[in-house]
Amino acid sequence: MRQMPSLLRRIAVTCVLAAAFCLPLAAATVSKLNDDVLAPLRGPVVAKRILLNNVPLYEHGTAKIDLEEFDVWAPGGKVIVNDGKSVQYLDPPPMRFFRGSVSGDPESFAYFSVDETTGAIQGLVATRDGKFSVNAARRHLTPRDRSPDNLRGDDFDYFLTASDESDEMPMTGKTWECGVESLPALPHVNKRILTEVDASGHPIIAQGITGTQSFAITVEVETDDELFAAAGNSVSAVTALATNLTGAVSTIYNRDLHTNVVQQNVHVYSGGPGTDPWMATDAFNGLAELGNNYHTNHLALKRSAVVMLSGKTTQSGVAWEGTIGEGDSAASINSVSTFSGAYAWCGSIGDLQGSFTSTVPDPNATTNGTQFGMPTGGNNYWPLEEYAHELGHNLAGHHTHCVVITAGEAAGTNHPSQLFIDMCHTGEVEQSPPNSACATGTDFSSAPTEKGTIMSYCHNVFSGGVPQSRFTFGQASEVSHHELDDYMLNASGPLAPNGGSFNIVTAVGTLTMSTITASSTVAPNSTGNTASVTTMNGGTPTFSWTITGGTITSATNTTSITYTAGASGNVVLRATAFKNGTNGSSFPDGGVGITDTKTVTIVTCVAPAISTQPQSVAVPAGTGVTLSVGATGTSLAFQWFIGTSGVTTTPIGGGTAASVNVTPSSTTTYWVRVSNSCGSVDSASATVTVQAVAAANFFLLAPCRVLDTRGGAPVPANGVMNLVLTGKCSVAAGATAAVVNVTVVSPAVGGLVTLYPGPANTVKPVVSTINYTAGRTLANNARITIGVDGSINIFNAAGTPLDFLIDVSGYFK
Amino acid sequence: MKTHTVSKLVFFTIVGLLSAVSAAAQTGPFQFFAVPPCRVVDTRNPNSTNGGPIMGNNSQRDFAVRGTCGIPTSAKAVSLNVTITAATTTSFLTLWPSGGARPVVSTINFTQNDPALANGAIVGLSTNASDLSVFNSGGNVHVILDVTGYFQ
Repeated sequence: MRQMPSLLRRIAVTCVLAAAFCLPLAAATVSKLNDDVLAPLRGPVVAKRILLNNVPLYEHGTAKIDLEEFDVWAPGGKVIVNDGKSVQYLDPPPMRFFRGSVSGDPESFAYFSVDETTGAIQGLVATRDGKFSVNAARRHLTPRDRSPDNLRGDDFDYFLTASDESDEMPMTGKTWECGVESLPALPHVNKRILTEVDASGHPIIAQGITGTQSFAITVEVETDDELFAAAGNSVSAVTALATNLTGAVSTIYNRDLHTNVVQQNVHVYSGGPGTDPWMATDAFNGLAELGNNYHTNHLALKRSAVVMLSGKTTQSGVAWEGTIGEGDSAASINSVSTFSGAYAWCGSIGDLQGSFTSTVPDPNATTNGTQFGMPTGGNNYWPLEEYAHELGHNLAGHHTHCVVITAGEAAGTNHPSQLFIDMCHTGEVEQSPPNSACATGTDFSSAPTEKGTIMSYCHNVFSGGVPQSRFTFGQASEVSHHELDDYMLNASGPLAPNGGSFNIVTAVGTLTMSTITASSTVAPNSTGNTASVTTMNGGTPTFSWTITGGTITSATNTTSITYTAGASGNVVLRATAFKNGTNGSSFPDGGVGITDTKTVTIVTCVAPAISTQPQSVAVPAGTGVTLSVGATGTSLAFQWFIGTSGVTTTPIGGGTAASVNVTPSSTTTYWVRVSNSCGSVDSASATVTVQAVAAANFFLLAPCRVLDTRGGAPVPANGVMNLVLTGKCSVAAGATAAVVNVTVVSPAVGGLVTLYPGPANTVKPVVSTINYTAGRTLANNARITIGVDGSINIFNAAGTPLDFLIDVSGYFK
Repeated sequence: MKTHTVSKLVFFTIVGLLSAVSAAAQTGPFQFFAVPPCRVVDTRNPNSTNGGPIMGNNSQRDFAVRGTCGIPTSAKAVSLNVTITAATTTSFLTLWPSGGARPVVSTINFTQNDPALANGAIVGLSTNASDLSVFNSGGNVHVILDVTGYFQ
């Protein structure tokens, strides 16, 4: 049992209105926008947030726009392309999405998408001052510019289109007609009456993402032959249009209703006229057709609503009220039997007075590129307005305008004051009595003069009306905001399996997920490979996994999976975490999901073999040393052990790389096991002999220059030079330290030098022997510890090679 | 008269210096023990005995060298490299065994134009828990001490 379909009819059929419709709209303002302002959208996103500074909005100054990255596609979403002969399931195009608001304007919103293939950016910014569309158009490239390098974002011209002038269009003097005449008034068992009040009798407003609850609804997007034709017979153009519309709708719903809107599948019909199953030529029959088709063919399809974006020139839309979260019911429209449910039908998406593509009037662009981007002002806001409006009906939103609820309206099942209803909708039972003058199209005087909201019929039905509506359901106290919020708050959740389901999501803070942990290579056709993620924050989410180049062999709704690799190429793993619904539904809420992707290379396993054994070494007590092994083979894993080779009782924690740093307090033996999926091999033992600190006598030498790099190899930048001291300048073998004067010669940049004992694989201590500034030859005196092998290491911490002198004047032994 | 006054000042200075040196000169002989280079003091670190804060104007800090970096409590002197950084004015440091009067000597001289500057030194250690004193003459400066061996 359903509420009646509620119609948003953009234009009535009388000649008067047709003429009025042809009146020119207020001209949209267009100017170019510097790409530098938008460029951060293509860059790295830190903590899912991006801040755009100084976005110019015409005479309204510049805006600081705070954005978060979000997802428009539900997990597993596809572009389903039917060309009349076969059906293809395509992955969503690579796009990133951002939504947010303008700093200082709580009623504002901003939405941007980035085409990751081309770098093109589309966007829409709505503030209290007006609506501003960002559209990318590709500049006509000269032959010289036609290199792949030029297919970058900086090849785009951006056009900022404003409709603020048309927002000021007066409404008085218009005549209009309402469009709901003969539909049966169905009992509305699902109507969520505004019954929740606090102790003072004030209605309770749901709190959203910033409060305690948020919601998500998943939309199946339908299109038709006519939209495909209007989009220049381009699958990608239709997909981009639907995706951007859903993204902008989700941005509005998220701000006002704490509700994420994601699209599950976008259906595109690419085979020309007759490819699609949609025969109806008007909104009512279209809605009946949509309900019949989905009830008959897709009853079990998990979805919250089905939205038709039709290219038919109906200039109207229609939807069932209060149907999201409920099952389908038998109904009829104009004597056509159908099923009511969460269905919304939006017409004239692709042909708005022939200006669907809304040519960007830029004198410098000889080719306008991305035509199916965001609406560009004036009546071209219609697709977004209609999508948001009809989906609002599915959420029990009535035709309203932005008038504050009175106490009487909030208290009862009807709304006696009528103040907040557009008063044109004879079938809406809230009106008692209906405004007959309005309904016959002779009275426009009752329409409010303030700007409308998304659910305001009055503001949308006449020429030029759409831009006069704000892209909002109003403030929390306003009717449509309250109605839809209340509906979401009181909905009982999904009724599987007959469609129409959504999740109530308890907000648990920002959901964060680790990157995927999995071996970077797997063997061809290997089984039992594992991959896993963990969540760092966000409560107990739901997970899903997808794979290409292999087959998942475990459940996919957990943090870890096992999979079988393909025969060659790569395996691409993708994990998604969603905030879980409190109602136990397995239906992913989408919208707040986060994902990570990892590519695993399929390689034939080569057994490990050791090419370079770890070497024994002697060091002074307290000195760290790096032991290394050279090995060949695929996907090698290492584990170092204390003890002789083969004894595995004492593994070194963290010693899982080809080299390991050890600082034994006494002489110790180590070895390493190198392994992979097709075998393992043990290294030889290597002993680190610790030489105790010994008493030494001083031996005086005639000063002698033991190192002078000038004319030879300098100490490398950020590198180490190993120098054997003993045996040079009469420094005796077995000397434990030397008395030296060290000199840096004309250093190019400032820096420091660290002298420490050899051998070369000694771990460098964090100390310094001399600090210097650029250009200044400088000396220092030091007593430097000599390694057991008689060598020292000279570390140059500067980014340029360094000429260095060491003069020795004595040693200790 | 003028010459006489200068002579008196020099005379008193030398007496003080000799008294400090002569005490050290009467110990030993010592043998040298090389240790791996090790940072024992860094006032850039969080506040602690051998850490921050930065040394202030005309101030003294006493650091504990023995018992760290392989320097035994029996050590009588330490071979070290003293490095300064973040100096705010022209100044000098004096290093000496803690507990005694500060000798009128300098261990390293520097200016605020030195990003960092180092000098090698051999300094005696007292038997106090904090065995090594450092004096900064002027301004603020960070002090870093790296040891390479000790005498005992």
